[in-house]
Amino acid sequence: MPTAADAFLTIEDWGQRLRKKAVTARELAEFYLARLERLGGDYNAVVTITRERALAQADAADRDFAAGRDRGPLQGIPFGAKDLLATRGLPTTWGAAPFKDRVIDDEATVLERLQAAGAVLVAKLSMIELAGGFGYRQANASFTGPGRNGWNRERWAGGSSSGPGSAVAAGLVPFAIGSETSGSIMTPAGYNGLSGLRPTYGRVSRAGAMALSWTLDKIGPMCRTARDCGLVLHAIAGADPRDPTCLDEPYAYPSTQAPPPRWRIATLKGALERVQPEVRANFVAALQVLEPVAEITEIELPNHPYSAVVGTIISCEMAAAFEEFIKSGQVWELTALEDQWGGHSTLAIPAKDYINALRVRGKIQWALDALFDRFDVICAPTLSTVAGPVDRDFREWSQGFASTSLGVASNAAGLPGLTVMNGLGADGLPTAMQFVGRALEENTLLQLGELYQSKTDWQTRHPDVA
Amino acid sequence: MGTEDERTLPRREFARHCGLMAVTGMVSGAVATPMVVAADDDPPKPPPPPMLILAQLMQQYPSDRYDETVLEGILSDIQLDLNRGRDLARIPLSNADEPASVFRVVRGDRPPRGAQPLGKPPA
Repeated sequence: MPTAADAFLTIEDWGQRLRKKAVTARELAEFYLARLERLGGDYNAVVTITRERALAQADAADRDFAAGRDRGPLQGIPFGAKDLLATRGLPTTWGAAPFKDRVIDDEATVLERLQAAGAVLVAKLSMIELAGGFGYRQANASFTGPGRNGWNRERWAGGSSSGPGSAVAAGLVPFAIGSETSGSIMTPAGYNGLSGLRPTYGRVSRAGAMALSWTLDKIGPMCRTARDCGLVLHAIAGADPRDPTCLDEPYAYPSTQAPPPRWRIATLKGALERVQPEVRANFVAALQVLEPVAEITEIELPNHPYSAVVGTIISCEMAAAFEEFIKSGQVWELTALEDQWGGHSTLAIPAKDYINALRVRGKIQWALDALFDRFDVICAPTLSTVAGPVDRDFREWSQGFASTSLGVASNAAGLPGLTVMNGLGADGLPTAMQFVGRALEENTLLQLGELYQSKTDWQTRHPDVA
Repeated sequence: MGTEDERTLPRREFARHCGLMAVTGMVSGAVATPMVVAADDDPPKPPPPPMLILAQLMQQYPSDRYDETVLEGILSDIQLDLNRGRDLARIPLSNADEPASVFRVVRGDRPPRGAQPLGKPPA
């Protein structure tokens, strides 16, 4: 049986052990189910432990192994799913008290594909209520309580994919599925020292996932390594008739594309001005690791109102998505007081503002795409600080979360992003850096992430969780 | 995107406008009985747009949870939204600058010869 020291193994590590018969899928599922049951509450990371389903899926994986059927690297691997992904027969709560017992008669396409790949769903994981769209300003914005960081429970796990962030970091699951409208994979992955991948908009089907903003929501993996992110994306990417925005673009990992002979990396002017000293130092050190194989050039992003565009789009789309929720009065049952009224003003934004945001969005898309004629990736610190106290308003410590507009700009344009841990900062908490690439260039990001992780060992670090 | 002054109304001003709206019946949305105004008085100024929007919201989405703190928060958000809309409107856009919206045609059960259906009708 696995031991506590094994809890932080990667998908690849477990895959090897399964195929060497050092462990069965059932044993692996039982191991992580026990950890979730014993430790999940310490991090407020778990909504529902899916024991019955997990053991059935694990047994199916073992039968496949015994019969010589190998569905791929995820076969037999336990995972957690952010609780905005519908699971037939099990609660899907969206992190919101009004929905804590609600069962949706649907199964998210992402979960269907992971099941087809032989992965084992062990838990629905906590999230910020309604994916943070109502304007939360502190960690206690979920009916499951504040998401606690995997490295230090007095610190925030990040959001809105709080549970996936802390569950992977604390070794409660080998990987998790999160989602991002604007920051919700990158932030918890960054604060928890994970590798998190935000795919290109449309790469992964959103069918069966709660919609906060139909034209901004993306679903993606949160793992221990960049390579694991690629393995998961391979299983979940691809066209889906249930999601009309899902792209019919082939995706495969590992990639056969050759890496660039010399990486062309753009960094952003001013990116290190409003960050903690350790964030700055670790980012500089990370660039030094890449310098022997890269041309690094400092640039400025094109001058566009990225925050206004993304803010308007989210506000208007969530107004349509949640008008009934507000009108019915259910909104007043949300956990964070500011979430109870934070969505009201969106109901009155003029249509022309939304249309104008979409018009400017088109310009942003082409302006950013033009940058990738000259560069392979744009690189910046993922977050300005390490994770802050779980009981403080964000405005007191976060320094705006990001030191550049790269996150909001890349979300406006639907571009992929990868965050990887690049060191330890204040109070021994993770710092991280992000790579953003051209649309559909996830493998470029993953290649660079893997290269960085081959030259460093931050991805092997983890908190001491027994 | 808007100064602190533009984002908040002093509480006294806020209360005055709420009272004004109540007197003129704007909150109820009714066409008010014409106000009797002394000939030498300036006509009362209408409330600023954020207040009008707030009144509309309160009428369309009634709740007994609208206390002063909540209304101030919503009003602040409305002001931010208006400022944001003005910022977007300042971006030079020509008629040819179309929205980056997703639209594709659909055909239900009878695709063109040799082609796959382009989509399914909504459930």
